[in-house]
Amino acid sequence: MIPPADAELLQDFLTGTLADTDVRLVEFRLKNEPLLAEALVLLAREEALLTEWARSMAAVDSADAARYDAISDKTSPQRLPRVKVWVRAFVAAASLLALLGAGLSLLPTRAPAVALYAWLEEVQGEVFVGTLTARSHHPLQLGDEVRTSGELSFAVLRYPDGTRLTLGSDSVLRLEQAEQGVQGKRLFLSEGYVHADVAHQPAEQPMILATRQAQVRVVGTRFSSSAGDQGTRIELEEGRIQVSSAGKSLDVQKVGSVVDVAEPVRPMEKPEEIQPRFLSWQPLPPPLTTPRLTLPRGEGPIQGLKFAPLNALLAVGGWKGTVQVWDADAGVLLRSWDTQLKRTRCLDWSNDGSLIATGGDDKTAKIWDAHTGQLLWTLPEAPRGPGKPPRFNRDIDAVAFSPDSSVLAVAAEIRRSEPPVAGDITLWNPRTGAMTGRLAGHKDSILCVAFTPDGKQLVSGSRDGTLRVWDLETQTEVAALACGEPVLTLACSPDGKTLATGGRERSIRLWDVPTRQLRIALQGHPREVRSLAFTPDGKRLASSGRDPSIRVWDVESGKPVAHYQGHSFAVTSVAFSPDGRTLATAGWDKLVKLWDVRE
Amino acid sequence: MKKSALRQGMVARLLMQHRTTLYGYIFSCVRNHADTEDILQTVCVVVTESIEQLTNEAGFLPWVREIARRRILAYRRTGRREQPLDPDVVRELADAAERLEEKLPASDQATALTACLEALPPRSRQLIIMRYDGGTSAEDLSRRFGRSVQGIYAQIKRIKAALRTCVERRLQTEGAS
Repeated sequence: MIPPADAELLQDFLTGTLADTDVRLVEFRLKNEPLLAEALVLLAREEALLTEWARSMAAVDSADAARYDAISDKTSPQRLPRVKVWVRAFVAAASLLALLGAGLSLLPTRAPAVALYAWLEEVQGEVFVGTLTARSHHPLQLGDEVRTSGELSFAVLRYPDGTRLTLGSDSVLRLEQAEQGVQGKRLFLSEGYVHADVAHQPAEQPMILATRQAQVRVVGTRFSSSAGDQGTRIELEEGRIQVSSAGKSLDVQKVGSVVDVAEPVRPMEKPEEIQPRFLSWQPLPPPLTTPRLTLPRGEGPIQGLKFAPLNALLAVGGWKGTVQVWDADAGVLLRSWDTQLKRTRCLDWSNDGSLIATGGDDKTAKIWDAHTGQLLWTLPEAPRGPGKPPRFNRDIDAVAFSPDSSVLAVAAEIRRSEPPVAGDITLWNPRTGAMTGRLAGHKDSILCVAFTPDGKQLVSGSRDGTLRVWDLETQTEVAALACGEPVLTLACSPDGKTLATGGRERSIRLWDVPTRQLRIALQGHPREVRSLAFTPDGKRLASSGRDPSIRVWDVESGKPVAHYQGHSFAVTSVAFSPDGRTLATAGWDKLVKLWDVRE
Repeated sequence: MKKSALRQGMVARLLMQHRTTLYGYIFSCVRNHADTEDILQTVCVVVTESIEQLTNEAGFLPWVREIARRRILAYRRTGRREQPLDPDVVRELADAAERLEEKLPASDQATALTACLEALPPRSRQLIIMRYDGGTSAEDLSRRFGRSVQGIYAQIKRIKAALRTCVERRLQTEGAS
């Protein structure tokens, strides 16, 4: 019997909805209370059993679900059988059984037979399903993204009906849910090459292969398609396909026909209309591996890095809650202070050099005197007298000073498993600690904010996949741009003409600020992009992310011009010194490295 | 059939038999289904490759649990997690999983829970299926069930609490009979 209070606590612990401090408390208790540890394992088993049961029932109950859907929502998408979760985990062992001739007689008899949606029949080279390295026989589900990496890589996808798709090297293919009311296979080839040998599909359930520029509708035939930079090419080998693009449709029947579809030029204002105009995989220059200086290893991973505006002083924040100020030229620690945070999540230095703001996991933002480390304001300000001090209802993910240092913008996080609440940005007077405004509109937590250099606008990026531009005088939203992925980081060029964003899908996007059009989408980081910084002249952009490499790009051409390697884990922060000669980088390996920037 | 082939068949059966126990232990440590599946998959591969080291079937679960513990810690070292796992917690949970398996085998918990799930009202049953089969977002659930997202979360919590009470009653009844 688990006491109800503990059951709730452990449930929240398992689903990741506890604050970090509470997580540490539960872990402490787990080490000291054997019964609590048993209760946690019991609840974890329950989660496993519920998942297994639900996935097996999803197929068995599909008829009931369809009936329920018909009553409650006639527009809900059709539910398809899903792969049981243990299939993936036990594919090696189960295939052994089959090889031994033991058949499936040893499988639990109550397990319903659920057909695989699709699987990888053969792979060569580096092939990934999502972030997992894939081997032959890897089962695939709706929503899976298959990615091949490297010149000699390929993957063969098979469907139970015999349809076979061969994905060429450096290609990305996603298995998508068919449109509402339409059954059948739907695939999205975002880049690369695919050869399709499609078994006959019912006329009302055609297979759809979509690219950024076109859609191919197939009933049963052989064809190939390559997609990428600025267009899509489709070559018909046999049978008949229908190609549609930008509202026009073309019936292709002649064997050997080649159809080229160029990237349409569209207005970029509305989120759903945004399409990247250019994607590139560029060869990297040889890596530079020797930094000018590596600062002594810190106590914890580092998550905030910012140069003072006029000199080579560097502020560093991290998981242990200490802020340090270093002389980046000499490598000397000038001062440090304890923020009373378990973890500093973000940090900014005001342009007049006098203030440093931090945000962390205690649901407050703090403003410090940069010269003395004295705490000036805790936001929201605690009331005088007894009572619980007010706090943001989330941890703070981003803080930014306006160029004239008169406004501090604070963004906060909504914890992932909580019901989503619209993300807010609050504006504060850093001299008085008074709140001066609130910008609301994002549908999920805000992960990054930046002021435009003229100080008239604020740009915010969110987990909701949008980038929003706010007018500070009227405190209203003036534009919303869709990025199609959570926006984890952004940076504004010093001339205010270019905005760079980085996100979960590994790409870096450069937006033209006056027209609000996407100019270039750069690809190269193998994992998500976490930090971006422009050089003071705005010609170069440094990027880092979940992989240990740091890249520097030419903003005009989109080509990588430098490549640094020296960290062991994710690089969470990059920053250029005001003279542009030093690039500071820091990350989970607890190290700050200072690199000489070369032309 | 060769002796080694027989052993491989035995491995598959034992892995299947103890799947919930292993999944529960790994999930209690990493608290993420995708990570749990990754680790479980590597554990299966290691177990399949090194089954010759196992001397008797009774020692299978402790042996696999130790492999799982090491894989969990190795997984942490790859840096894929943002929050490092505490090795002491991982060991404590391994001990807890062992004690729990003696007190309440996962198969008994599964039998009782399945019976309780079957007894759920259709609407609650449908909500649990859609919440746990991994394909429906909270917003979609909210739309389909005509409740706020917060209301859906609260309802799922209530259903799970009711299931827990039902499982306890069933286990007590069966223990008494």
